[in-house]
Amino acid sequence: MSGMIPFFLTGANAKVRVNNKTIAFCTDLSYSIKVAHVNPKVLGMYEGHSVTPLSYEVTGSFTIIKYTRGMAEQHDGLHGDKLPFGVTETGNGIGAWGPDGVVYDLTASGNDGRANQSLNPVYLKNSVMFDIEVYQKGPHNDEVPVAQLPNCRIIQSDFKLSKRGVATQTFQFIAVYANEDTFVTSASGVGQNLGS
Amino acid sequence: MRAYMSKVRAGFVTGANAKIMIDNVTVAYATNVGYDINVQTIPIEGIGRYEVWSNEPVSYSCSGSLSIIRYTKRASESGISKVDADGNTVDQVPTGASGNLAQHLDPSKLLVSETFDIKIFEKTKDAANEYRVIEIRDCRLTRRSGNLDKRGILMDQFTFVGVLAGDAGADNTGLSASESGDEDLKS
Repeated sequence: MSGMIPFFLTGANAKVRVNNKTIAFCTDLSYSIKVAHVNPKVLGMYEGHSVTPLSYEVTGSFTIIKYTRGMAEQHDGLHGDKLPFGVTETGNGIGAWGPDGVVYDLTASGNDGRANQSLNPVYLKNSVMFDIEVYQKGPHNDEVPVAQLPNCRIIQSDFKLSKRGVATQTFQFIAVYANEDTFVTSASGVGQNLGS
Repeated sequence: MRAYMSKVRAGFVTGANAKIMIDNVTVAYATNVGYDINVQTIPIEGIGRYEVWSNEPVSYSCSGSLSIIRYTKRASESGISKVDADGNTVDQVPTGASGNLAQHLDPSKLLVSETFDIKIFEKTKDAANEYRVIEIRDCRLTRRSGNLDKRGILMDQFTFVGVLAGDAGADNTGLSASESGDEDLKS
């Protein structure tokens, strides 16, 4: 059995992308697909009549170890300090997950589909959903997709800072679909609004 | 068949022909250094099997310890050779741009402390061509302890953690181990 490579998906060989940005300091991610059912009970039967699906929803959360915008620039640019591998000057808060990778200016306006719009009242009306993807990294710089959660919105952000702990931020999200490596979901309908 | 053993030079790494450097500064009065690379694995176990399917690596860490025999500033005044005029307290071991080992042990300096590298060399006949054997990168001190007793010398004992450790590269530079992670927020 020699020559066996790491094969199973673990936290050490996983990669999480949000909005196609690698979230390198993600510490955990979980999601849940829930299909609510109803089990009608009718007179004359002991068992339920049937199990009827009612709705489909995807929820989940992930946590990142937070570092601050400008800290890398401050240390690397001004003082020439050696920094941990892979950190960015933009910080890794939710405002940096945009498609162009530039941190969201706190005074800027506009609507370009950033995840942080989910947490900003002024943008909620026009906010755009984003995707979360999970990959398994292989030994030859290969990446194999594991799961894709399209059309997400952040619904809760919890920041935690404690003595003897690094600052972490946990984001809870909902998604419209959850696709995995072995099955792909699709829309069940488009409604019947005023259809003929 | 080997008939004679003459003219055979020392070929093994021993404490006598080793050199320890902390951030490229020789620590001549070190008496021992040890390191530990730990790769944590989790067993993949399934119903219907006695043995595990595989042992999957999930984390890597390295740590170690070293001891230094202490001398004071007065050692140089006493005529002992090859001692530093300022003694070899933890304050005298320079690390980083302008720091020293003591930064890791002083609350007021922890914020400016910088990691240090520990290198273990095998000394050769050619002093300018020492072979790097082991390197432990980006270390931080996690503990200092000492003990002085009757009939004993004072020895500073340090434990540290590092980020990467391994053998020196094939060209006597670099490190056989390298980082595995991704850069943050890259497409």
